[in-house]
Amino acid sequence: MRNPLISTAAVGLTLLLSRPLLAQDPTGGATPPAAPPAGASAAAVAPVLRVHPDPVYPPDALRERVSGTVGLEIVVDETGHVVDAKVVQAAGHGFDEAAVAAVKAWTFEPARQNDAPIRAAIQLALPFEPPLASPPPAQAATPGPAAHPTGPAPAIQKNIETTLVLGRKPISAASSSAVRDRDFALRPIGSVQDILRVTPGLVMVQHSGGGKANQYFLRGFDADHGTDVALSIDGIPINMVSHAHGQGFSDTNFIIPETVERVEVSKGTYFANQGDFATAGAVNLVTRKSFEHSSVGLGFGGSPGHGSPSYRGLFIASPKWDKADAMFAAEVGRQDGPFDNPEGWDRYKLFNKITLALSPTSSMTFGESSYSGNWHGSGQIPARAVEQGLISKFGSIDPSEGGNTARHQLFMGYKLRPSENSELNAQAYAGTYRFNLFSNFTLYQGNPGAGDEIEQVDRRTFYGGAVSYRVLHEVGGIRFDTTIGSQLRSDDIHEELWHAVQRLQTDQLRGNGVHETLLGAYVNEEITPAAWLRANVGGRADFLGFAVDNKLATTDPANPKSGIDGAHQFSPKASLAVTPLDRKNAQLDVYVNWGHGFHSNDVRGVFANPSVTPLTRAVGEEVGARTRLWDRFDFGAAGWLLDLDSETTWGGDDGTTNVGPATKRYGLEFETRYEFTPWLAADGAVTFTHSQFSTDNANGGGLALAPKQTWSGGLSARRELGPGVGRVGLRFYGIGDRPASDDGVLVAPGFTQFDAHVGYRHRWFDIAFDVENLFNGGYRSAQFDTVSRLRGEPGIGQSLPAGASCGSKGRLASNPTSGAMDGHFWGCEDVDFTPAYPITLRVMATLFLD
Amino acid sequence: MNTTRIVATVCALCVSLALGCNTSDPTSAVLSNDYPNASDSSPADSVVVYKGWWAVAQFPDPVAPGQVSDPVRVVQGADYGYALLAPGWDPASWTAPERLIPIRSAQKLSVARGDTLNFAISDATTLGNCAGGKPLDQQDSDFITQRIFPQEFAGLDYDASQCTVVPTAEGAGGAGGTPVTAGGAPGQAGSP
Repeated sequence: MRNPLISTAAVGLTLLLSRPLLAQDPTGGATPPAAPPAGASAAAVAPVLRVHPDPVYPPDALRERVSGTVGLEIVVDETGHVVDAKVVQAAGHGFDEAAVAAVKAWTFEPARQNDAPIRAAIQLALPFEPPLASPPPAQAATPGPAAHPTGPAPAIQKNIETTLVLGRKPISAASSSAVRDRDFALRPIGSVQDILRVTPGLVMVQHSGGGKANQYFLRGFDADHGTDVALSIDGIPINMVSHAHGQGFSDTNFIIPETVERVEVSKGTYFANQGDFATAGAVNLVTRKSFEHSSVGLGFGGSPGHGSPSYRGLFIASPKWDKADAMFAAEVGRQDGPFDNPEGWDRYKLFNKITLALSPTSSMTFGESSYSGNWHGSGQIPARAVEQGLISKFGSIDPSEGGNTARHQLFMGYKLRPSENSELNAQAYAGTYRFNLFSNFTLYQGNPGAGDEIEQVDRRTFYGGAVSYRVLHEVGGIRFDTTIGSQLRSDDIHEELWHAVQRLQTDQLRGNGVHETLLGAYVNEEITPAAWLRANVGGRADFLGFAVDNKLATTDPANPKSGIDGAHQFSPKASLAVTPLDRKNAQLDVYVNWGHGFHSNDVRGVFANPSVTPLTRAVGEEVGARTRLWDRFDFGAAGWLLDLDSETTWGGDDGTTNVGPATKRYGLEFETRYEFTPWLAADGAVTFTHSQFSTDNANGGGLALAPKQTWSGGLSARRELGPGVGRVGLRFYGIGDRPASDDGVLVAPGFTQFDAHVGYRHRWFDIAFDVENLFNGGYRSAQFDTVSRLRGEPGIGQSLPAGASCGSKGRLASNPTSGAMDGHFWGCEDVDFTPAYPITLRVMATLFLD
Repeated sequence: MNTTRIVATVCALCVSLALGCNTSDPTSAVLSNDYPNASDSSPADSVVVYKGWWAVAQFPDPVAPGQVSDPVRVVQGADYGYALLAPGWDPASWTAPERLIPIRSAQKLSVARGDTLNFAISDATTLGNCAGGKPLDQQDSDFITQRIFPQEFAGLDYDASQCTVVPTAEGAGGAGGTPVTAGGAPGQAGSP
């Protein structure tokens, strides 16, 4: 059955926005060229669309309300008929086949050169969007199964996706990808961290209480809370510079997961538009413009035998306005987790966004998001404390750990197409942020009486913006895609570090005002001399200016002084993409990438002793390939190398600077996906990484906590079932054993976690059932090599009693001054950890209101 | 949009959220000083609990006779409770106690998840107060003075049989390095 969902207006506009490529086939042969030859004439006139039957919306996709945009390259002959059509940017879910079938029935006023009709190739983007309006009255009157299987009636599409049609394919790297919501909807999604797991090779673990940022592992980095992974939402940075707890701290808890439409992943240092923190990679979460339905959702969950149920409430309003897309989303939730010390993680979130269509070629977006949360943490507990039976693995040594945080931000964006071949994007944002974290890492080592609890305080306002201009042009048959842009970010920060006892501040260790502004400008030139060859050259220049105001009188040399300074870096980039194979059932792209990048360091460390450099350069290289066979099998492989000038971080937990030497990392990544049937697919990814200090400290350059292997994958199915669509996903992800200490003696054991998801979507409701840690694995999540003292262990500096030990996996710490084992007790060096959640069940029911 | 549907759904949501709010109460502990009030006896006989400790909970503030400490968060478990008695000390004074007596609960104290543990301190429930006729053995008192409250007994040797202290022969702390002081813990790699 045909569903002419793509309106005449929509198709016309899409073509208007596409970039025509004119080409004459000198042979006039019956077989059109696979790609337009170079040398188009400036006197040529593009084909004009005359008859354009609408594509059939794939029934499964319609029922499931999924959308997509198919990139097509079509050849129009001298009579105006489409004689060839191929997909250059697949959308899956039957969209590709539907688009090809539709455009083959289109007719054009043929392209002309010197008034003579000629054969021509054009590229266009064909968007599929499910109707935004309610079902037709006849169906609306009888809601439920009667409305199906045909789905809602066709509707006029209001807002056309106006992304520029690129060259044949966007140049990228073999390790870069974009994942849409229809894919991560097949996974257990309880938070935005679950969405981020779609990134091949990115492993995240829960860490010391749900309200705290997760731990990220990518490309050999234990990126702590984000130091070497650039995270953003709609281009707005999530990483916090010079954060009280750690440089690049990235708390994604403020995001409502349902608002995320797709995840854009780029690994490495090869992308000119990626700046601070994009050394291991960058992940940008792109939010929706609107929802198909307003809805309310309610979720419950928990771990049987551990604690009490968690709950989550969600309300989404997505009014249907003529010239605007809008959504208003609110989430509340509470979670205790499996811990003996209930987390009591209360959270409140808002996300509101309106996109106004100012004209057919311009739009403006206004938005706001708010988040507030507080929680109790169980900290990172020493393995020996569990081994000795002092606490359970879900126990706590200092139950007063935890904290509270809030983030509120405003943003606006403007998008304009000055011409059919150009695009202007501008964005501005501003926000406030609050963070109080109580932690106790060393327990009773420093203060055997009251304990070593610290409080980290971060208050800041941040603001910034970005602007980019992109233009496509052609010179001598060579196509150029030029982008220039600039990004600005500024943070005004007040931060403190305190000793505390049961959340009461005792004495202040640090107190700083920090102002930090980072300005970056970049240019990127993508050159396509032939359809099988694309080159990319570009670079960016970044300027960092900062001032630190030390508000605390202290003689501690590690305490940062006041000062003003700056730094800059130029980061060249270059890439090459070759397509040696381009047939209907077999495509192969080979990529070579090279580029410089950087992460900034906590600028307080610049004025501390020893001092750190404000910007750390990273140089990356990568060779890889992607292939698609039989239109159902995808495979990508990449070998990469990354040199980092220094592993310098601000140790927010103890208020000192840690200056590390240069490091080198290299690795291999493989990912694949196979569609057994249109409704059943499997995917997998595995990475192998070697990480080391460039200097061999008699231990082979051992680098603690660097992940060596990661893996992920699963099976996913989505199929029409009765009046709705059922979906099933079985996922796994894991990380291998890795050294916890530089000398490799202490080991952080790896794990593999299996998750399952079952869902069913009906016109009026959706229900999802998730099982996390399906096999109830009792493994550790975040892990750190930490020197600490339990209350009952010998006093620091006391003579070692006979038989003193630090458990089966830990070891006695050496004298911190001499570095020697001197027969006295200086604490236990042990792997402290946060346990993984045991098997956790969660159900989320959503009712659609319109 | 069907108004009835919306109202019904929002009501259902509110009810569900209200039910969902009934999540775990934290486990907690209090320390109660069950020695007689100072008003009931001479000030010199008043026994203040200077500090207390149970499993993962510390009671850092003095508790006067007959008083109960503020609750602190703990996790379920079973362990002995430890405390320091300060006989004749006035908590309102700005001086440190002249004499501290380490004591231990006579039995292990346990608490279940969500409950409140009461660490009751009196001669009947604890061992270690020589005046009560229940001294600790030296090994137990050494554990308290050297592991649980080492700061209070730094440089001192405690005689459990007499409940007295004498300066230690070798002095406070160990040789061969600088003892770590509060706030001066050696740095940890990274910032977990």
